[in-house]
Formats: sequence, structure tokens, C-alpha cells
Amino acid sequence: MSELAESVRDAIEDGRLGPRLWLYANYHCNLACSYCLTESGPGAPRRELPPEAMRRAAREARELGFRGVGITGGEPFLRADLPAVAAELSDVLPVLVLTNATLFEGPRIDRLDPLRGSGVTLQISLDAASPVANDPMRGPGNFERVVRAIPRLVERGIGVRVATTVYGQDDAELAAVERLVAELGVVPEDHVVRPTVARGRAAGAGLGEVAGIDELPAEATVTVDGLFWSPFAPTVRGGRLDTDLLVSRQTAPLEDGLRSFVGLVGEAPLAEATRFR
Amino acid sequence: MAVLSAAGANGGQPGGPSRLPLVGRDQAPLTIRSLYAAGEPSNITKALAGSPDTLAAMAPFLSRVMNPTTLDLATKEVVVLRVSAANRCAYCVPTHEVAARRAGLSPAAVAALSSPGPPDERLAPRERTLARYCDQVVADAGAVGDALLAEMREHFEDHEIVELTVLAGAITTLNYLASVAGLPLDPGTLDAG
Repeated sequence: MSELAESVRDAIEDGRLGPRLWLYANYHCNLACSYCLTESGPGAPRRELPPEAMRRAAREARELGFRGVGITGGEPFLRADLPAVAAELSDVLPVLVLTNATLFEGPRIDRLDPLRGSGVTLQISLDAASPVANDPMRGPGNFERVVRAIPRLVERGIGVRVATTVYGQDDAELAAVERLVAELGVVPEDHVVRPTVARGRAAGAGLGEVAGIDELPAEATVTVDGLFWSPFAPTVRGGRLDTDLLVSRQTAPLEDGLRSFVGLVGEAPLAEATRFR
Repeated sequence: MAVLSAAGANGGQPGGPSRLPLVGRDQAPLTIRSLYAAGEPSNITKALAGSPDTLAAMAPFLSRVMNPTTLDLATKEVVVLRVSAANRCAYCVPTHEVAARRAGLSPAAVAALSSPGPPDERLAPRERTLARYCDQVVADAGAVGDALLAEMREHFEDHEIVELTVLAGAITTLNYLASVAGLPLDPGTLDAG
């Protein structure tokens, strides 16, 4: 094992480095959520990570001791190649894809057939238990599409988790969303609740908690622009990419950038409350 | 000043905005954040920060070659200023006119180093030789004649000649970046001017 792989394994083991390597598949999205970190939307520049770069990163991540791959964006499923690429990556490491699940209506869900029985899990955003509470942040029709999609995915044997982003919903609302998630066929362990981070569009809207290196746990994240400290890091504000949590412009080979990354990982364990999920 | 107008013709416009991004403190990448700890760094540092991997590797190197060693700071500043003038760097020349005076060079010596033409008697023999050496290294890619090298050896040890030559190359690298970007002067330089 290389010295770097040993350092990565130790850091993951000690909880100083997240076990998953994150990949930003793209930056565009069919939605334009109020708290979006990356100012994603239909008109956002795509900035796609090429499939070969994703494959290479996953292979190298496994060699270095990472235990999983996360794919995020943007809405990854706006990419036509995403189901096939995600399924392919899951032959290397378990894959989690963050999605808004609004592109799986009717027969379009058949696009996801490569994921059936694969090591790919979808993590779907749902913030509240009714359209009235959910849709102002995420856009009209979002709630209905998501609650239609989840049982259909579960039926097809595609792994589903649900993520709720907290931006001010009260306890009753959060309890209601918990019940709804269970009714949709998702077990409580697969429902994650996470804070809004005050970067990107959220910062402009005065939402969320300020997050810098001291607040965000280390979770190596690859985008077309480089290697970042966390999936909360490669944010966009006013059309400009933030570089305050950039670690290296080098991502291929991954170990080039990761060498700098490991040098930054301190002795403190991950802050569970703010871990990206 | 001739130095300023010449660089304007070669690269960015002096006095205009930088043509390459200048990374401010709020956007400083993690591996180079320590360079911002004492406040906003110089514009050349901010330009280099656009490639944090490059800056992270260069910072200790530049610190080693630019700071005093067996050679004092005034001697290093002779090289920095003369090479910058030879490369017509509109950002580096005024910046290091200030630094050279702070390092103890006389105003007359600073003026001699930053003006075009052969170094004259405003410089002491040792500084004059060094300035001529810098001119030749920059003008002819290091093709320094035996006579000039022998003259350098009257004033410097061989290891010091290695160090001064590497410094000339390092400064040339910075001159190139500053001129490509057309870096605006730092507030500290303007205040001192």
C-alpha cells in the first residue's frame, strides 16, 4: 500500500476524512431551489465531469481506501449517460446519487433500469409533508412528483434514501415528513435531515448557517474545477465559483490533489451534525 | 517613466484592472491561506493564488531565494530590481524600488538600477558588476562571458553566484506573470511612492 493510501485509510478510520469521494456530475438543474449552494437551474452552465474522469476517480478512490462514491450536482439525471455511468461505478464502489427525482415521471423511469439490483442508491430531496410547505423552496409540482416517484423506485428494487434540508420548518412539520417518508416505503435509517448551509444562493437569500473549514467536515469532492474540501465547498455565488475551500486544481491522478488534502486533515473527528448527506 | 510605458505595450495596461483574477482573502484556497493571515497579500501573490498548487510550491522557494542568506537583503534587491527593469515589469519595478530603499540601497542606487542603460558610478563596484551580470543573464539567456563571470567571482562565492542566478530566473517568472496580468500596483507601493 502506498504511503498516501495508508494516510487516507487512517484518516477515514479516525473519522478525520469522510469515507465517500464526491463527484460533481454537472451544475445544471431542472429546478432552481431557493437554498441551492451552486445557483443551479435550467440556464446554469453545465460544467459536466466527463464519464472517463468519473470512472478514473472511482477506481483511484478504491485504491486509496475510500469506501464509496457520491454523485451530486446540479441534477445528475439531466445527463443522459448518468444511469449507465452510475451503474458502472457501482461495480467499483457503492454509489449514492443525489437527485430531485422529478425526472422519473411515467415511462421515463425506465431510463433507470441499469440501476435495478445495482449498488446504486438514490438520495431524494423532500423537505416537508405537503406541497404548501415543500414547494415554495423547491418549485411548483415538486412535492407531487417526488411522492409519486419514491414508491415506484422502491417497487423496482432501486435503493432510496430521503434527505430533508432544514431551513425553518417547525418540529411538527419535520415529524410529518418523517411519517410520510415511512409511508412511502423508506426506513427511518434512510431518512437524513441536514441543515441549510449559507453558501451559494442560500447566502444571498440570508438562509442557513455559515460554513467554513471549521464547520464543514472533510469530504473530498471532485469537480471540473478541482478538488474541494467538501461537497458544500464548490459553491457558486453571483455566477462566480468560490475557491475559499478549494484544495487543489489537480484531480487526475486523484492522488496529486489528495496529497495536499491529507496534509490539511487535522486531528479533529467529523462534525456529525454538518456531515454532507 | 520609460519602464512603465514599455511594459504597457507588452502586456496588460498599467493602471487598469488585472487581466487575470486576483484572489482576495475571502476566496483564498485552503493550502495557501497562511499567506493571507497577515491581511491582503500583494497582487502578485493574489494572481499566483489562481493556481494554488503552483503558489503552494513556489512560496517556500521564493521565500528562500528572496530573503537574506549569506547574501544580505540589499544585494538580493539589486537583482530583483535590475532583472525587473530589464524585463520591463511595470508592477515589479515600482514595487521593488520601495523594497530596495527599505533594504538600505540609496535613492541614487535605486534610480540607477531602475533606469535603462549601463549601470553607472551611482552604484558601488560590487553592485555595478551584479547589475551588469543581471542585464547579461536576462538579455542573452545566461550567456555570460568568461570575463564577466571572473569579475563576479571577485565579489561573490560560487554558491552565491548559483543563488543570484536562480533568483534572477525566479524574478523573471514573476515579471512574466505580472506583465501578462497587467497587475495594478499595491496600495503600499502607491503610499510609499
